[in-house]
Amino acid sequence: MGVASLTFLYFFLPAALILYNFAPKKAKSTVLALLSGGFILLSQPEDFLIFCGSIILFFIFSEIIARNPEKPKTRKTVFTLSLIVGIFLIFWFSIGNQLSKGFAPFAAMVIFFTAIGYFVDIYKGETKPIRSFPDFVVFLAFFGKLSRGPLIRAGHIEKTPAGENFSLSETGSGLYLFIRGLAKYVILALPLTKVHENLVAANASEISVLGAWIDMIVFSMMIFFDLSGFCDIARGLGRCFGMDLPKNFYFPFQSPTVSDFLERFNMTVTAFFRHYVYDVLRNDKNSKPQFIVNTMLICMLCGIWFGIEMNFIFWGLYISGFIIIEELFLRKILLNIPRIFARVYTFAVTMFSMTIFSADSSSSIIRSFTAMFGIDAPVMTSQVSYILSQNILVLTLGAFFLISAFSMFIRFISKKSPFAYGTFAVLESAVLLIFITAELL
Amino acid sequence: MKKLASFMIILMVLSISISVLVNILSSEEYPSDGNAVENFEKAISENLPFRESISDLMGRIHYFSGVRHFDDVYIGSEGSLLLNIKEPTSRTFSAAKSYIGGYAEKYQIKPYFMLVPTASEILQQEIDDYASEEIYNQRAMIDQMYSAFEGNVRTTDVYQTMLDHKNEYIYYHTENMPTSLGGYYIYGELCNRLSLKQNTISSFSAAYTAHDFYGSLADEFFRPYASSDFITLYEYTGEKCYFTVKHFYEDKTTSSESLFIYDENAVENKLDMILGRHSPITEITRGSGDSTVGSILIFGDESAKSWLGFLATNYTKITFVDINLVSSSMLSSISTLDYDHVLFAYSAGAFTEGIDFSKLEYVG
Repeated sequence: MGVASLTFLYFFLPAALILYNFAPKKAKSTVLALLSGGFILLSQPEDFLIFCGSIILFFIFSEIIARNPEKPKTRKTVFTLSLIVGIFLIFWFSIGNQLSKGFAPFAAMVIFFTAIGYFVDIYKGETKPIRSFPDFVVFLAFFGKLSRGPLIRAGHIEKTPAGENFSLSETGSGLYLFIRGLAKYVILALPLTKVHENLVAANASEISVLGAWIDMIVFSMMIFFDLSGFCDIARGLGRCFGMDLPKNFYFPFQSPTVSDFLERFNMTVTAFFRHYVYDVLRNDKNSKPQFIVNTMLICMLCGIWFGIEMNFIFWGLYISGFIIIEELFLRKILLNIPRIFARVYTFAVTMFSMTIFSADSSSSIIRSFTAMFGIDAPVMTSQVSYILSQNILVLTLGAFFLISAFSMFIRFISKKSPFAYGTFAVLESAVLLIFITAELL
Repeated sequence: MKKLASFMIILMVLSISISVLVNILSSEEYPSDGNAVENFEKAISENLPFRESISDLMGRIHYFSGVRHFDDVYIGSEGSLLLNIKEPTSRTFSAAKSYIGGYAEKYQIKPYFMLVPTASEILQQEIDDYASEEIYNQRAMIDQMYSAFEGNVRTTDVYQTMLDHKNEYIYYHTENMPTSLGGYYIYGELCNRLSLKQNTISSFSAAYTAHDFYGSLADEFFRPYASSDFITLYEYTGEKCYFTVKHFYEDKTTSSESLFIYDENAVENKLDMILGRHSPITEITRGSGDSTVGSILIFGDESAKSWLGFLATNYTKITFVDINLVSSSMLSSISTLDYDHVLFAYSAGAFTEGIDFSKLEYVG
């Protein structure tokens, strides 16, 4: 049972909402922790014990650090141990995912990266240790964020009224956001994944200019709707259960610079590495070599978040190259030319980056790039034209929702007429529920 | 968000969820073929309110956006529903080879074997060039099976014949089997292989019936996009003779004095107008007439209905066995050596779905 399943939508979520809201205020955290445990058990039963064991171990580490404020040696030893365990588990799940695709790396990445950040924060005294075990479980493994994040930091999560008592408007707006996120994933990301797979198969037999370009755009849309869809799901569920989780995406393909793209693409992960790695490494603001090395490292880590694989590392290096160029001289130019040109530049650079992101080998990256520019490739093949003809609807919808026009329209309505916004939200939820259900049948 | 809107959204999710649970609890069937989570997901899917309508709506949206491929069915340009067949496992080939080979050796016979390609192979001109590349290659599969027999079985190839007549009405639009006309061409190839004198098409009188017939592929979703079918009954007029058709079931036997049921309202499935309702064992006997050569034992699937009526004009007795339906005790009542010929004849679709050839050991 994943979040994108009928069981979750029509059984687990309603049951969780009822249990959570009927639970006494003091027991809400325990209920949420149990629900998160139940979710892991139902969705990844094979990893349940390792997740439970590691969370318990992390809590013990956290308690030791919390109870020994006057013993720096003990604190340091336990802190080091917690980092070793966390990093080992990240590698374990990443490598496991490479060997067997059944391994679910994201839940592991979310739990263990969050834990590493938490230990750094409490060790440095930037936040107070979480002393309640249920709160600790919810912080690390709240079921809403396990699929793709966002990454959160202790002390940086705002509580919402739904955390105290049942809040009709918070639960309703949370569900609305959840449905929209689920729609992004089920109605757009999943069909686009299929289109991408078909294009990869078609390009493998005979790559064409349009085939390579379209695959790049399709993959970009797929990755955006997949990740931002899950982020909306997490934020929506968080709101229902009393947590205001941070945004993770903000129309990254509309960014005016590549640096800005990284700020809008998987932003909590970027912020995580910037805080825990970049800021720690940065000593001299004026040192260009250090800036270059640090930028490359951060971008590579942002790639590694998706898995320890060469294409993700290359992607990070590619992005870092443009950030460095921008920082050295291009940024000034981009900020002084009409916005549209800056956006076109970023759009092109980031779209190309997705070809690297999706590639399974360096030779396939070269093959795709050469085909894009017509080197030794026909303009179009019958396979690509067939795939396009069969997927016009999803491609059109994907292109439309990739930009912020619809989101701006919703925001406009919500400001101008709350009643119209409410009516629209109900109708939109009903229509999306029908389409989501149909796709999940 | 306004409280009323929030209330409506919460109510929507909760009401669907409650109605699903009520449906599951009141349903007599609960899925049991997967693990607990998979079964529950399936139970929810099967018990969703307005399930069919939702699915139908989605299909129509996809159709109007240009999609012509739904699961394994392709909608052809002429309104044919072309069912892509499953890729057989290596076990399918080895089981057919070993059980049929063992059966032939046991009775010291050299049986005939025929695989009939389905419409998805022959009518590929009706779908897009690239889509046709997704269609499972039946030519290669048939060749692979035929060569696996290594000469121990006499194979009959109807592929080219069907391809030569692809522009005629040789396959139903909405049923995954050949029409009677397609059956006649298959019959022609069988006559060549079995050294029979082929009766010309003019020695049959054709009765066109069951107009606006929709087969099993044309469910509620596909029907608006599919062309309707009709059934042709080819009655033999070449010689004065009569036929008796007997259907053997585990607990009963039915008999009819004609190859056809002319009243389309008398049958539930219009395809039953030819040879009646499909049964585990069908026996067709021909009375009087001179041009018969004896008897034949045929193992096959329901698609044989398209050509059995033609072949019946050449044999005194045909015993047709659907080995997937028949029981071991019924099989033991058959004596192989009573027959002049033994034929295994399957549509490529039925063959890849799986035929239980292991039951051949029960044949007497």
